[in-house]
Amino acid sequence: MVTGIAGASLLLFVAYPLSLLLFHSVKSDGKLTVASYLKAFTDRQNVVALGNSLYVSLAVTLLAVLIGVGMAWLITRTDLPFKRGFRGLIFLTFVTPPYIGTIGWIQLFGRAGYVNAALMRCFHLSSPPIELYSLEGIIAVMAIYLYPLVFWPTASALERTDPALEDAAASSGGTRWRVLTTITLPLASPSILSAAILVFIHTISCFAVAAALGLPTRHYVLATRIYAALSHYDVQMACALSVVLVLLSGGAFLLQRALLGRGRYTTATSGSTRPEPVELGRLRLPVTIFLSVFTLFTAILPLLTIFSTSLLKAWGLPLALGNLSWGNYLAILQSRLIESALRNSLIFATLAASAAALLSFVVAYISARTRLAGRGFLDLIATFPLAIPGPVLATAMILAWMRPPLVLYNTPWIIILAYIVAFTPFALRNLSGSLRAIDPALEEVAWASGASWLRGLKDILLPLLRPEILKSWILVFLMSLREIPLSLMLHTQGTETVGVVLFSFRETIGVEAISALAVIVILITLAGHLIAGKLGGELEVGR
Amino acid sequence: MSSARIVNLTKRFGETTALEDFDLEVSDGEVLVLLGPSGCGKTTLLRSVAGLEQPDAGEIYLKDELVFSRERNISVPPYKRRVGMVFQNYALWPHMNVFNNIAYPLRIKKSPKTEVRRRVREMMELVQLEGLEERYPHELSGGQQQRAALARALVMEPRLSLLDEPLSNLDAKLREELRDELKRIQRDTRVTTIYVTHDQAEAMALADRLGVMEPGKLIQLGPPMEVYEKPQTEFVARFIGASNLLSGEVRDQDGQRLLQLGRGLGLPLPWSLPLSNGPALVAIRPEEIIITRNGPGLLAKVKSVTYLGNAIEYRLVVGGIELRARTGPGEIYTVGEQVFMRIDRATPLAPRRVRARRHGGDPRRDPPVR
Repeated sequence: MVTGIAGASLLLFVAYPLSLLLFHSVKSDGKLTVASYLKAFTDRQNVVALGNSLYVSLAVTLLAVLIGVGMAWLITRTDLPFKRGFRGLIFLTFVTPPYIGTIGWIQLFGRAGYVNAALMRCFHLSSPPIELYSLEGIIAVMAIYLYPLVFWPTASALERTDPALEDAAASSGGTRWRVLTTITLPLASPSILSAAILVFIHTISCFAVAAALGLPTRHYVLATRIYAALSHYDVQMACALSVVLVLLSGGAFLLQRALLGRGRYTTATSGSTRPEPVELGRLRLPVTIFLSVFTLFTAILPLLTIFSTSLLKAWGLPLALGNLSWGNYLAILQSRLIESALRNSLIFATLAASAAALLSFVVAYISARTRLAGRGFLDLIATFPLAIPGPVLATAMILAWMRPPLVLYNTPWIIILAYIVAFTPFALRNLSGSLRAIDPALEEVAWASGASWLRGLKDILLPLLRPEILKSWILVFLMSLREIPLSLMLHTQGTETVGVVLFSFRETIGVEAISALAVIVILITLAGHLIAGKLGGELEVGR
Repeated sequence: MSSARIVNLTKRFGETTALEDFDLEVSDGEVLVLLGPSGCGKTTLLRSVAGLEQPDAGEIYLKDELVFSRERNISVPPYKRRVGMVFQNYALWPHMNVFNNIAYPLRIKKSPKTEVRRRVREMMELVQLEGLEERYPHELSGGQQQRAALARALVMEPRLSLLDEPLSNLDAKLREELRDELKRIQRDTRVTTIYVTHDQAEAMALADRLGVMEPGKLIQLGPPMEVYEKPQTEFVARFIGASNLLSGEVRDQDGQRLLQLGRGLGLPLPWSLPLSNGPALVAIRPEEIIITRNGPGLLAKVKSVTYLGNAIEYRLVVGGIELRARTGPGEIYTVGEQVFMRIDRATPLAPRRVRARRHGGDPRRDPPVR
């Protein structure tokens, strides 16, 4: 019965809206046609956007893999100092919402940003030398926030690799470089490949950073083109572009799923000791300095900038003690808009997190603990939104819920529902792994002891899974709290969220106030991760 | 009176058949041990009895209550079967201490508090875990975890207790110690038990009756000694102990009974064997071969010697075939030495024609060592 409800709601709330997307992209005056695709790709801007999307995604993937794998190797396998410090900074980058980071980067490298201003002053330039509002700017910012997605799995794969395998290669006469390229990295390659695909999906789906850095100079990617099409009420175009985008991200998603299904190389069982760390020798100092500058710069600097801006009495004033105050915080807490946005976000995030935790538990239970037909399909539908970019999901939601019988459009519910659909996959991934790690015999022995199924669930499984459920809840809560494209495209007057305010009200309420709000979001995020850390393990936040 | 009766049980997982038309009856208070290689369906059988699997056909009775019948569409859920279960990995609940683990079945039954405390104490004494009430499972040794799991299975006075390879995660010494403990506990409680294992020594030591399973089927059931001494098939003989399995023609020659193995090699067999002339399959245990320096017997060459402490195992080559023999630690023969060997006892097996010819006929194939 529960299965039926879970299956039906997934079909209704996930599969149905997405299929509408496809339907609307090929329907014109009641006939099936590919006209909308032809139209979409005779528009040069769309072709350029598609090219840009691929360029940005591939470049970010390449950069993220280079940085992530390089740092993972340096931190796990060499005599690099301050390893814990580096890990901490990478973690900070990892948990910083990319759009919030972007706010910081704009304050640093925007046309009127601190760095450009300083350079112009120093070298007497007439125009800002660094152009952040460009595809390359998008690539740089995205790569910074996505390389940790490669770093963590690669580092843990390198740590799990049986050192005996490398010792064997070294004693067969392999040089250090040969061992690295023929043994160490190939062994970690399934993890690296899977992480690279994840980065690709995240980049091609990413809206907020691409919009913030691309729209001012009319550099479009597919995700922002869909947003633009919908802003011009060109639903058919939005649908056609959405289908194209989902083909790319969904294809990558299915590829990754297939790779994961094939499993990884079995590693570390021989119990041999850690290998001697590779000595960096003369390179140790320069590498350390370079890494310190890079991680401090990428992790701390934007946050520091946002924080100091949030204390400024007015944007543009130099950072001097006399110009600082807590005034912006008081102001935003008194602003009716921000107060209602914060309240909305907290309520939506709470509801979405609770629903997603429940739904993901049900789906995880069905797929891990039962032999019901269709459980694999259930899991696939629940996970697939991982590959649905925000603007696409928003378009699908509008199509599905703007007409009777169930009109959710222009209500808070459409936003909450969109959060649930979008973020359940993250909760599910977290929960189903943990659920599979719990021996089914623990429940079975409870049943044999006289406990009914429900009693076994209450006494055994739920208590054992509680930390993981809580973590999933926090995960969805944090992701909802800072969500941008869904809120942006689905909100109406009165249902603005924090993301909407951060994204579209910069001009209205000022950079200082936006920064203060951003600091609040960062603090909540850090608190969430701190609690999750106490529960054990780290959260794998989506982007 | 029978405590459990399993009739015509069949269970398939996709293409593979775990159990096929399986019949078994367990009498009150008996320990029935099912011995078989992994994947032979023994765990599936236990899980079906406990209600954790839904068989595809057949019936299960517990004390004359029909708890499962595919034909009549009856399946009593596990929590109403009153069957105690002990898993290979103990499955103690990691978030409850020992006391709460053992008390759980009683609390489910809503036994009064004092009763719970009394029964748990009783059980902890029975399995010798006194004083460890407050410990959590991860603070216990493997053997202690095993005892706690057993106490939890027995505390509710089950109609039947099911033990699924309960000792296989323990090291050899502890395994023997706990095996004797299990025996004592079973004698004290008289609880009817089905015990599943792939360890021959464990099976022999614990069983009132021993059943040997081949994938999906029970092939021989009887008192352990009978199964050991009179294996009915080649599979049982192989599985129950390292046997030399020889197939050939039995014939009489010069007042001797010979097992003709071809190539002019005739192995003299004792007259006491119930054999008639013709094709035969014979199991000879290593300890049933007698080795001497001076005969009588067939001339054999020592191919290898393995010192086992309380015994010595030899591989002998006789006319091109290899036999495994085991003697006491008295006299030691060396590799390459010529010795005489004769057969003291042997067990004729009912050969399953095709398989015996194809697989059992070649004694050079190493029999499995258990």
